[in-house]
Amino acid sequence: MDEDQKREAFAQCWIEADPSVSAYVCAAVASFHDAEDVVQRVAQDLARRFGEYDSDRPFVGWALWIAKSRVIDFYRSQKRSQLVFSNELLQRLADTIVVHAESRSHRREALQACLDELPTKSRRLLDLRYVDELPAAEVAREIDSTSGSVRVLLTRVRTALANCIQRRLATEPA
Amino acid sequence: MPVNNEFIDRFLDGDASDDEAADVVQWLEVPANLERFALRAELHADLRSSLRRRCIQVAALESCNENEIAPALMSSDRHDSSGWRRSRMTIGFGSIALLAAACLLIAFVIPHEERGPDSSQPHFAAIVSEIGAVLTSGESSWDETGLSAGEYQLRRGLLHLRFDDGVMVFVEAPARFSAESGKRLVLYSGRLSANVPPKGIGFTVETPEAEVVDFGTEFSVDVEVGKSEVHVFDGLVRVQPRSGSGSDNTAAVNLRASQAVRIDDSSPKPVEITLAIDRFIRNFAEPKRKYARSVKQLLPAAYYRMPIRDRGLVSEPPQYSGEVLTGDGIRPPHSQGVFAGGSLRVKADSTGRGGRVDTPPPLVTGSFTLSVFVYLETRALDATVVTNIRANEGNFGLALDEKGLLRAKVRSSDGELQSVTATTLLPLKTWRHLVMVVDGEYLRIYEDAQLVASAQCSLIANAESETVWFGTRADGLGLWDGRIDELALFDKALSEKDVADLYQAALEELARSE
Repeated sequence: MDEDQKREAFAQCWIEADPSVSAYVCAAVASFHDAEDVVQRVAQDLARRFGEYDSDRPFVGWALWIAKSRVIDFYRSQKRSQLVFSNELLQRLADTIVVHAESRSHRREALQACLDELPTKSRRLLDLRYVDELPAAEVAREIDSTSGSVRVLLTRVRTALANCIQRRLATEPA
Repeated sequence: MPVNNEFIDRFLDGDASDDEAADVVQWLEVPANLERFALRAELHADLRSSLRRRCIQVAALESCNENEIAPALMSSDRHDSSGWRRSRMTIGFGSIALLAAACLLIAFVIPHEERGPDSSQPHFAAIVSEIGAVLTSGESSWDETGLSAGEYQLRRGLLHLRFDDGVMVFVEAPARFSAESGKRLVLYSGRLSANVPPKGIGFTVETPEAEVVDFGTEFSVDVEVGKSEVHVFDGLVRVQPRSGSGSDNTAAVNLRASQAVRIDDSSPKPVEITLAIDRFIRNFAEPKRKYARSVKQLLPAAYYRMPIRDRGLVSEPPQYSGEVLTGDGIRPPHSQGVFAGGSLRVKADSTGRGGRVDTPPPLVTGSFTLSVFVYLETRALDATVVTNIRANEGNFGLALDEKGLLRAKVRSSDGELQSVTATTLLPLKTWRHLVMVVDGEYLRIYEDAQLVASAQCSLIANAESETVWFGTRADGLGLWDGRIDELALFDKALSEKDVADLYQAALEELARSE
């Protein structure tokens, strides 16, 4: 495989693994910005070390193995007493996400359709949280509510989306 | 407290208390719970990426709408997006494709003429700052505070431009480009980096091989004869290649963060390439972040962060500042640093010939430490990182020897030169953290916090005012070939732990800046 082919192979692998890595880091690192930084770091490491990747094994497993190291680096860099996942729990989380990876593309497709069905108010709530990256208290100010209510509403919208995804997958032809 | 969806969401949002988080971790011991948690985390991550992408697309569409895009195109996009059901690879990009087509339409409808700028015309871009820049239009020097419509050549130095809506563009000499409007730039040759805030979405860089439409991001473009490269560091851009004739367009590609492509005359299809993290100058400012703080806490005698300045080699404290040496070459004597910010570039196609400090800090304790980041372009031999040794003067030096191996040299208090040499070569085109330490017993070299060479060594001679040379020897030979950054001199010996802590701080800084 020449250099160009390697790069193309890496790009393809990363496109497929990116959602799994993002989900993994999102689970282990609470802040949006920190999680983004960690995911970028993982991508850089994977690109640099792509020559070490054994193509007989799933790329996403290798990617999550690297991601685990970067998450641990992040924990170390925080140097504060925040509760973090143990090495063992991070590994089990990675194993779980690898298992789910195969059906992930179907869930993401379903999510797009489910988002289109959301009422305007729910979409606005999600946009304030995920696009504007406002914490619950500031979302509450925007919609004239309380942060407790915002958290409850967000959970309801997410749960509705999760149920919608399940429904769509259940009715999809095999 | 039972762990339900609300509890999980609070944890994933970072809003859970320590006690609640401990409960979640305990709850995750059960495999079924871990599965549920993983799916919920996936939903959070997917929601974020999907919603942000949709927002970017909407903003981009609105931006194009301001440019009087045909309403028919806009309505067809809305209709299309309402009922899509496509593969994962194409989700979300339907509207972008239409947008790009629309933007291209604008590009080809606007007549393009070869023309020189007219200083009486309004400026499309403001010149925020310039570093040793020689900017011309035709054969005349362009000394205005901004760029009007027309073609320019940046013959030397660096230029920082601000286009409409806060779009920042950094151009590196040599470059030839045209300002087409406050939202559009044509790069015929050279390198530039653009930082586009959300308001600036739709900003476009056109090259002979492609058109790069930005969707709120940070990206760089490198144009040589018959070849354009686009590197995306953040966000999303759409690259629309052209055929060799410049008239027909081939399939566009969307690039996300950490992706890069090359488009050349020979192939209509963009080729995925490795992201060039170290090639482009993406900002002139040095970040005030952790690594610099870590260095300063160790109280260096002088610290050279190598900011991109036209007033020379800046030191903290300033009385130890020096000057950048230049000679023949193409590119500026600065380049992208190990973190965000600049570095001193020596050789490597540049005019850089190193630096000199005629008023260096006195080194009088007999112990000494040098900490520096280096980036080597070629397998150089006899290449200096830094030294103050000249004939019978000076007391330290770090260089590659005649075999290309890293060698630290000191003059001991009895006047003898002592040295130690590493056994492995420095890797090319990658940053390495080098530290040399003399503590009165040993002379040591660390590479990325690993001890790579050590020899017994007594305390070193004093050096009160000997000139320090960066990237060159005093005779102007032994030039480095690459970059030097974050150089700190200490009039004391740092411990092994200090060295490891500095390297760890650098790793964390890298994780943030990449």
